[in-house]
Amino acid sequence: MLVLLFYLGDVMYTMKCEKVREVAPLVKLKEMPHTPDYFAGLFNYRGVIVPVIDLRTLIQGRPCEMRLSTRIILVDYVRDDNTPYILGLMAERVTEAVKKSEDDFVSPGLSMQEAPYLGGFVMENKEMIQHIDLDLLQNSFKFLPMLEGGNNVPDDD
Amino acid sequence: MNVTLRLKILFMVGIITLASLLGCILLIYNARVIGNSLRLETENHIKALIGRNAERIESAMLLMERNADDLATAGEAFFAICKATDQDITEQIKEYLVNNFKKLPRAIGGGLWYEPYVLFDKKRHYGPYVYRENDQVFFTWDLNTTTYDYHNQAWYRLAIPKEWDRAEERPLRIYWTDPYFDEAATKALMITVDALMHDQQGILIGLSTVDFSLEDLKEMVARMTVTPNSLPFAVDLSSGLLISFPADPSKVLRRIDDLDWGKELEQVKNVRPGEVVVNPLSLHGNNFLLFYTVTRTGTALGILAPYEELYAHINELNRSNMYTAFIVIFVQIILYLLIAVFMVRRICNPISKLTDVAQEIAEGDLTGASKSLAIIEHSSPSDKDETGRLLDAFQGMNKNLKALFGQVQRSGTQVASSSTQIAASSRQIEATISEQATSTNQASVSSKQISATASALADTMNEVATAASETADLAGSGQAGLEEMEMSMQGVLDGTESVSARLEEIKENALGIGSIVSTITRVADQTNLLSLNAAIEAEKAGEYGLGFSVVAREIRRLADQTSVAVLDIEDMVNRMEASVSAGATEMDAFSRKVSSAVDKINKTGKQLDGIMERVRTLPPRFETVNEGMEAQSQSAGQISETMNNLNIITQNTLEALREFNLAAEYLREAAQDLQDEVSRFKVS
Repeated sequence: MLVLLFYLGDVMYTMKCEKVREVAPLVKLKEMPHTPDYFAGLFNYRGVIVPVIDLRTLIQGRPCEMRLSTRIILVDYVRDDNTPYILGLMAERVTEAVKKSEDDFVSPGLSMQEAPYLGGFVMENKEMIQHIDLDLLQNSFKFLPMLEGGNNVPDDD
Repeated sequence: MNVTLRLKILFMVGIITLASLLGCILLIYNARVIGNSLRLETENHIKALIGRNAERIESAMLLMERNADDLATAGEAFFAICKATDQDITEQIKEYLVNNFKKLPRAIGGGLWYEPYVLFDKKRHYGPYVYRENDQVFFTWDLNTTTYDYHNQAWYRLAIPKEWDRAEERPLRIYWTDPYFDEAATKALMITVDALMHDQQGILIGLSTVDFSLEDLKEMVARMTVTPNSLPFAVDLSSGLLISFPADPSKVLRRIDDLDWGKELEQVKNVRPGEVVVNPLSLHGNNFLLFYTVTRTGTALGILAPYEELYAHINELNRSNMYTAFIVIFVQIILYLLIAVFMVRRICNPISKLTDVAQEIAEGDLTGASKSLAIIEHSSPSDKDETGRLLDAFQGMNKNLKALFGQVQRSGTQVASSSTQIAASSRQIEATISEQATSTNQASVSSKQISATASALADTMNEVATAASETADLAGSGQAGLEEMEMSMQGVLDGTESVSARLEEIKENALGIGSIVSTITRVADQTNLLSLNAAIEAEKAGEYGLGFSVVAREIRRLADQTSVAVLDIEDMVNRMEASVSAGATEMDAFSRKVSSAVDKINKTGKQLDGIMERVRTLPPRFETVNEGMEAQSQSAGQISETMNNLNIITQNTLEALREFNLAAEYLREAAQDLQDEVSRFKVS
């Protein structure tokens, strides 16, 4: 299984590539008033308006550094009514993707109420890398109005 | 040979039909065998019946003969008594006869008949006779008349012919007459047994008779009836006359030859007593069986039995067997046909239709297959048996296949577009890398220039140092050399300006390198991004993307190396800039001091000592500048080397990109093949 490696500050994180649609370079985002501080803005991805979440603000409370390697990870999601939509996740030093087997995924068996998506770890050279569960992550910003509709993924052809 | 299931089923049903036909034929054959044995049994029963009755008649007739013989012996005794005593023994004879015949119920009459005048000289006829009427025995002399004249009756003349010499021996002692109707006494049909009487000299003296009624025989014969219409009969063989025929008494005493079935009895002379012969014969279109045998007393006894009646039960049994068998065969054949039709309708037809549908699916016409399935479902009953379930399974399969191939077609299109996109991206990268290579070359050239400039600068600095030494020497040698010193100072000033100008050049070149480095960094960043996305796409392409993901990883590694190299360059350039800045600052200070020195030289030679002092302080500063220059030259050389490495990396990147292009092309071809394959299936 392919996992994406990236940093938030000095801490390395991973996520599975299954749902990752594409990694896009950081561009100027359209900011929206009266939104949570981790909501970085809107992004035009091939004609689709994609909301972008600043993962570092979400997890560490500080915005991402504006560097070349700071990129937007575009993730495919499906709403409860089975319509697909895309969400952008902003992270730092998104430069590496490695193969991992299922055995490398470990779970400490405890879940944090505030951030349930941070439950798991991936073993890399006997070090634990915190693993972000994309399915659980989705539940943390359901209240965003633009996630309720309108952001339909067009057909690829 | 192509044998359809339909033919096989019909063939099997045909074989089962033949087998049951064979079974029925065996049953019929068995019934026939049983019928034949029953027929034999019946014949044996009739034969036994005839044999028993023949024995009975025979014994009855032998009894008659013996009685006649006894009577003759008694008559001889009476004759002897009469001759010896000369008594009238008529009363004794009468008593004897009555007693005798009372004991012999089968005889209806009998008597003693003497030759003319042998017993009494005066009596021509002497024939005492008794007869039976209503079970009473009566004595009569009625036959001793001249009109009857018993000596000339046929029954008498049979034993003793006319004019026979009485002393001569007759060939037999006992004679049986032909059957005849006695009109004289008993008025009955009879046969008479004659027994000859002789005197002690052996001369014939008369005969005794016992009359055997044919009515008794008729009773015996009538007992042999086996079926209502069977005709028992008895024939006297010596005369060939029918002596008993209960079915039609009017035919009695007719010659057997005159009857149409009587001719069959011609063989009777060859039959041994006790043996029963069976002859089939046909009369007036009806079949009969003729059973007969003969007795030792010369009577043939038999039954003419109608064949049909005799074997009516057996034939009835056979016929009912046959009818039952035919009905069973007929019903079986109808049932087998129904089974065959049912199997063909419920199994063969759906299977052959579904085979056509499978053929359509094999040819890829999924739409046509689903139409055919709808027709089959509409036309066949909706039983949930195996064929019904098969039909359901086919519908499900067709539906899933349609969905699957639709999905595959869409995925194929997606893969094709992705691969095209990847190819375009890799071409873009290639262009960018080429651009990077050009930039690197430029950087290399620039750094070489810097190196050369720095070398030249170092030389100049050496010259400056020499000049400064000379200045010091000149200052040391005296004020006389002040003019010369001033000139030299001017040279120092010029050299210093030249150094300043060159330092400026180095600064500009270093700035140029900085911008090139940032271009390289951006390209490396884009390469990394593209390879990351390529890896993600490759993961999604699954098996087709395996080789592709290896190449993507390789590109990412090269991009990372580029980034590291660029970081090194950035670092060196920064250091070089710092050195240059430091050199420039020192140079400015130096320049200002030289200028003030020249001014002071121009204004006053008195301050020479001071100048000399100051000039003496110069060399260490030159050393500093020189060191800076050396460092700068070295840095430029390192930059050049790094640029060469970068160039090699870029070449590698280009090669990798070509492979990447090739892999993308293969992926595109694979996607195209997949699309071509899948497009054979019509799903809409």
